[in-house]
Parts: sequence; structure tokens; C-alpha cells
Amino acid sequence: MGIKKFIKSVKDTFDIKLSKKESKREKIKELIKELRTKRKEIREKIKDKKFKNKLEDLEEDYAIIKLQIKKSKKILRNLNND
Amino acid sequence: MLDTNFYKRLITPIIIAILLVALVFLGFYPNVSMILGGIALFLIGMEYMESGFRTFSGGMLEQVLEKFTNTTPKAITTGFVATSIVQSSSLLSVIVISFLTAELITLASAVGIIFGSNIGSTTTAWLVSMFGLKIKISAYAMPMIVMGILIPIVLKDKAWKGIASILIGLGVIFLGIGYMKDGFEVLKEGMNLASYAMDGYLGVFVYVLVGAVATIIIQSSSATMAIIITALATGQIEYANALALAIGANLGTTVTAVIGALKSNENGKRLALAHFIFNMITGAIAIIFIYQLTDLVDFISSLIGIGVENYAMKLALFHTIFNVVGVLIVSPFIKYLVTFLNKRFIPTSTEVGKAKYLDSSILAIPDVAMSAITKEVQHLFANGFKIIIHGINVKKKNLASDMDTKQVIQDAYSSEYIDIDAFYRYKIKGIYGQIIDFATRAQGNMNTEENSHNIEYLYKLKVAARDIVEAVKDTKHLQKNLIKYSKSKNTYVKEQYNQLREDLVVLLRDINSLATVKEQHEVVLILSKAKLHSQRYDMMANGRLDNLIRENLITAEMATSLMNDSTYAYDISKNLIDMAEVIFVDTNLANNILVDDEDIDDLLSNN
Repeated sequence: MGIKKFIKSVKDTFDIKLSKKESKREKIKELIKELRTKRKEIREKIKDKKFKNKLEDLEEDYAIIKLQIKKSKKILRNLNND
Repeated sequence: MLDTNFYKRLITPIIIAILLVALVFLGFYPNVSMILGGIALFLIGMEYMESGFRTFSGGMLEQVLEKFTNTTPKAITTGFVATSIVQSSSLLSVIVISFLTAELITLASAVGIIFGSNIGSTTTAWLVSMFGLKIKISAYAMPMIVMGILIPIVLKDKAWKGIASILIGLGVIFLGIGYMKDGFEVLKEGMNLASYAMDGYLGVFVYVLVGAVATIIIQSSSATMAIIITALATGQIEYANALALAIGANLGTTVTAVIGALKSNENGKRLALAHFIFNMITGAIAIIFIYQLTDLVDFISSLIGIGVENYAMKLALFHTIFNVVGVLIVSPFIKYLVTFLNKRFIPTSTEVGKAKYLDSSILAIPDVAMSAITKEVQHLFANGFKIIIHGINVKKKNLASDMDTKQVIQDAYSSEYIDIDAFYRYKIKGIYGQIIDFATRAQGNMNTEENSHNIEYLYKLKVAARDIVEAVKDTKHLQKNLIKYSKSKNTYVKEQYNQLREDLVVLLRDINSLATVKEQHEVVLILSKAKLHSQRYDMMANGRLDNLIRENLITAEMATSLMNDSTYAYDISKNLIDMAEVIFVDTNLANNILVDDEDIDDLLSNN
């Protein structure tokens, strides 16, 4: 086993991130996943009449999240291309 | 429990002193000189091993210590495993103190790690007794040292450089053991130290003292154990006395820790005292029950196949057993020990207006130093936040509650001006100065190539601290007219200033909520919304102001004040959002994760 392979296996076992780029990539992926879940949640609330009085706020949140997902995806693409 | 600088300052003169004494003895007692040379080599080897492991792991040890220490058993196990691998309890102590200061781990976890580390340090005795005596260990030393020198010439990778240092360290340690062994063997021909053997409890006390004094002089219990084992293997000391010497080595190492802690911070002192208490209790148990423990060692030795006359390995087993027994006995009382230590050493730096997390002992570990600076900027923010709230004449408890924003601004904090300058001098200036000073010193310890991400983030943290200072200063300017026009008979201008306060309350509530929000998507959403709102409020304030001027509802002086103060309010919002992006958004998320000006223009035009 090469030294790099050995370090990688130790890292995987203990869930240790040595490379900053690797950590950033994973964090962005995680963020996109969370934002998507939140977007779905808000979309459902917008459709729900119970939240009619908060519609304006929800629509604003929805628009921001959409932009945030787009932005995060672009950052992820850049990280992958580096 | 030594702080890095203290240990580094101490170990080199000790090595030099040992070598000088060895030189003096060279003419009269070459064998004593050989033993002393062996001890010096052993200590040099340990230093190489430590620095090599640091380079090889590249921060992995710190990550492991941070992640796997949340419960006492985990902390003890991690301390044990880490020390067994690194072979340096002092390295572990330095990291643990840094972590404590930066509040990355609790005192209970730190104490657990130190207990585990005590067991881990007994592995040196096992290594020496298993490999150092049976085989001609010095024969492996030279190839290892040569490999250690050649590797960095061929392989430039950082990990390989670390391995090279570890190899050199091991080689030098082997060489040292070899010299000690040869020295004791030659010494035996002229002088038999075993003739000074002493029986009974008197012998136990005398040899415990000798072991402790030897460790205090050499500053390394591992080196003392190596001497004891080699002397035992060559028949220079008796087994019973060797056991007492091992107990003494354990006690001696705490004196080293206590001396080191005298110049350390409160966390260093707490840990040194914990270590001292633990080793004293363990030592007392070992002395009282030395004969029962000896029987237990004989029993376990027969079970695991250690020969009846293999005293070196039996000594290693004894060393491990009494440390394990100590951990088992003291661990259930860690909770009480922690309470006692916290009461005994109260940090002086918790005074208002002084930095809480910045301590020179953590400068040596860049990641920990970064963590501490981040926490200190958060501390600065907490102080600045209170000043800003009171500056816009709002009560903190109302802001933190669910109270309607209109009610929040109606329930004024004071009808008088608040001396923001005095608050600034008392709660901000000192901390800000300490942050800048500490950050500059931390950067001095960072290798540009390896720590480029830290250096970049350090710059952002300094800017974030400046943003807080700027926000407080802007509040000072804003406060003047807020108070003045809150008493004005012109309801239009009064209303405008209340609207300005209301907008700031919304923003401050959002920023305040960030301290408790854990999920990053929530942090990002709150901050993006805050960015959008501040832009919108600024546009709306300008629109309202235009109307008031056009319809002659306010005087020219009022219009100028409103215009300036809207800018101050916008700048406060902007500075706080920029600061929050640095200190609340995960550092691993890429730069500029929040919506930008272009996105905000899109969002505003869609509304």
C-alpha cells in the first residue's frame, strides 16, 4: 500500500479531511442538499392555504433559495474544474 | 503539561549538559560516559520522532483529538492510542492545552486524554523491553538514520519528510539504547550497582526517590524507563528496586509538568494539577500495594507467556498495570476533579473588555489559533452588539423576544444619550487591539505555502473585527439624531427615524439568531435575506425622504440629517452582514456564498 493510499484509508476510517478543497466540495454538496430540502418544504407551504398570510415572506425565501442553489452549484462546478 | 516554548527551551540545555558531563567522564569512566551519551541520544531521538510525527500527520492528530474525546472513555482511549503512536506525552499535553484555551474540548475531555496519555507513555517501556534488548538494536540504527537522511532528497512530499524524521528519531533512539546497554554491561565489570540494592519499604522509598529525581533531571520519564530497563537487563539493578524506580519516574514526570505549568495559562495549570493529583494517587497506590501488584504481574506474565526471569518485560507490564489501575480508580471522580480545578484556577482574561480566547500557548498550532481568533471576533461582536442595540435605543431583552418590532422601538432603553465612546473604550478597543496583535503573531507562525487558506481567512477575520468596530462607530453618529428627533414635534421626521430603528431591529434580530442556528443552509438563508432587506430598506428610506422633501414636510436640516443617518444605518447593516458572513458561515464553504449585488437587483426587480 502506497503512503497516499494509506493516509486516505486512515482518513476514510476516521472521517478526517486533510485537503481543504475536499472539505469545501463536501460542504457545498451538503449545503445544496439542505437547500433543496428547504426549497421543497417552502414550495409545499406556498401551496398550503394555512400559510396564506405569510405568502409574501415564503415567496421571498423561495426566490432566495433558488438563487442560492444556483450559486452553490456554480461554486461546486468551479471547485471540480480546479 | 509543558507549554511548547518552555519544553523546547529546557530540553536542549539538558541534552547539552548531559553531553558535557559525558565528556568529563570520558577520561575516567568511559562506561558512564557511554550511558550518558546514550541518554542524550535517546532524548534527541524523541525530539526527532515528535517533529516527524507532526509533519507526517499534517494536523491529523489535532483532528482526531478534537473528534474522539466527547466522552471520558473515548478521551482516555484517544489519549492512550495517540501517545502510544506519537511516543510523546508532552506533545499531546501541548495540543490539549491549546484545545482547551480555544474551547475546542472540555476540561473533562482534556483530563481524560491526559489519563489515557499516561497509559500510552508506558508503551515506551514495552518497546524497549521487547525490541531494545533481545536483538542488537543498534545494528538497525544506522540504516534507519541513513534512510531518514536520503528520503527527503528523493521524495519531496511533506508526509515523506515526516517519515524521514521519524526514521532518524527511531534510529537515534535505538543507538541511544544500544549505548546505554553497552555502558551498563561494561560498568558491571568494574562496579556492581546491584550491590546497593535495598529490601523492604525503605528500599521502595529510596528507589522511588531516585527514579523521581532522575526524571526531574532528564525531564523525560521515557528516557528514565529506558535507563531502568537497560540497567535491569544487564543485572545492574534488582527487579524489586526497578519497580520502585518506575513508580518514581511516574512521580518525577509530574514535577516537570508542574514546573512547566508555572509559566502556562490557567488551562495549563489545571491540567498540570490534574496530572499531578493523578500521578500522586497512582504512585501512592503502587507503593502501598507494590507486593500485591508484583504478584499480579507474575500471574499475568504466566498467562501471556512472559518468562519468569524476563524482568524487563515484567517491569513494562508493572508500569502499565499500575497506570491502568490508577485510571480505573481516578476516572469516576473526573467530574469532581474538574469542578475543583475550575474553582482553583480562574482565568484572569475573562474580564470585560479583554480577550477571552487569545493565549500565546496556542500560537504554535495554526488551526487552533484560527479557531481562537474566530471565537474572539464573536466575543467582540457580542460586546459590539449590545452597544449597537442600546445606541439605537432598544432594550436587549425586547430584541431577543418575539415582541412586535413596533413595540420594541416604542419601549425605549433610555431617554438620554449613551456614551458610546466610553463603551467603545471599555468593551471594544482592547479586544480589537488584542485580536489584531494576536492575528499578526499567528500569521508569523504560519508557513505561507502550507497555510495559505489560514492566512486568507485570517485577513477576513481582521476585516470582520474592523467591521464590528465600524458598526459601533456608525451607531455613535446615528445615536445623536435618533435621540434628538425622537423628541421632535415634527411627526414625519420622528416617524422616519423610528422606521430606521425598526429596520435595524429586524436586521439585528436576524444577526442575533445566527449565534444559535446550527444548520448552514439556515445561516446562508438568514444572511442572504438580511442582505436583501438592508438594500430594500435603504431604497425605501431614500424614496420616503424624496417625498418628504418634495412635499415640504421636513426642514432642510432634517433632510440632511435623515440622508446622512440613512447612510449610517445602511453602513451598520452592511458591516454586520459582512462580519457575520465571515464568523458564522462555515469556513469550508467557498467564498462569497451569499447572494451578491446582481442577485439582489434581480430579486428586487422581480418584486
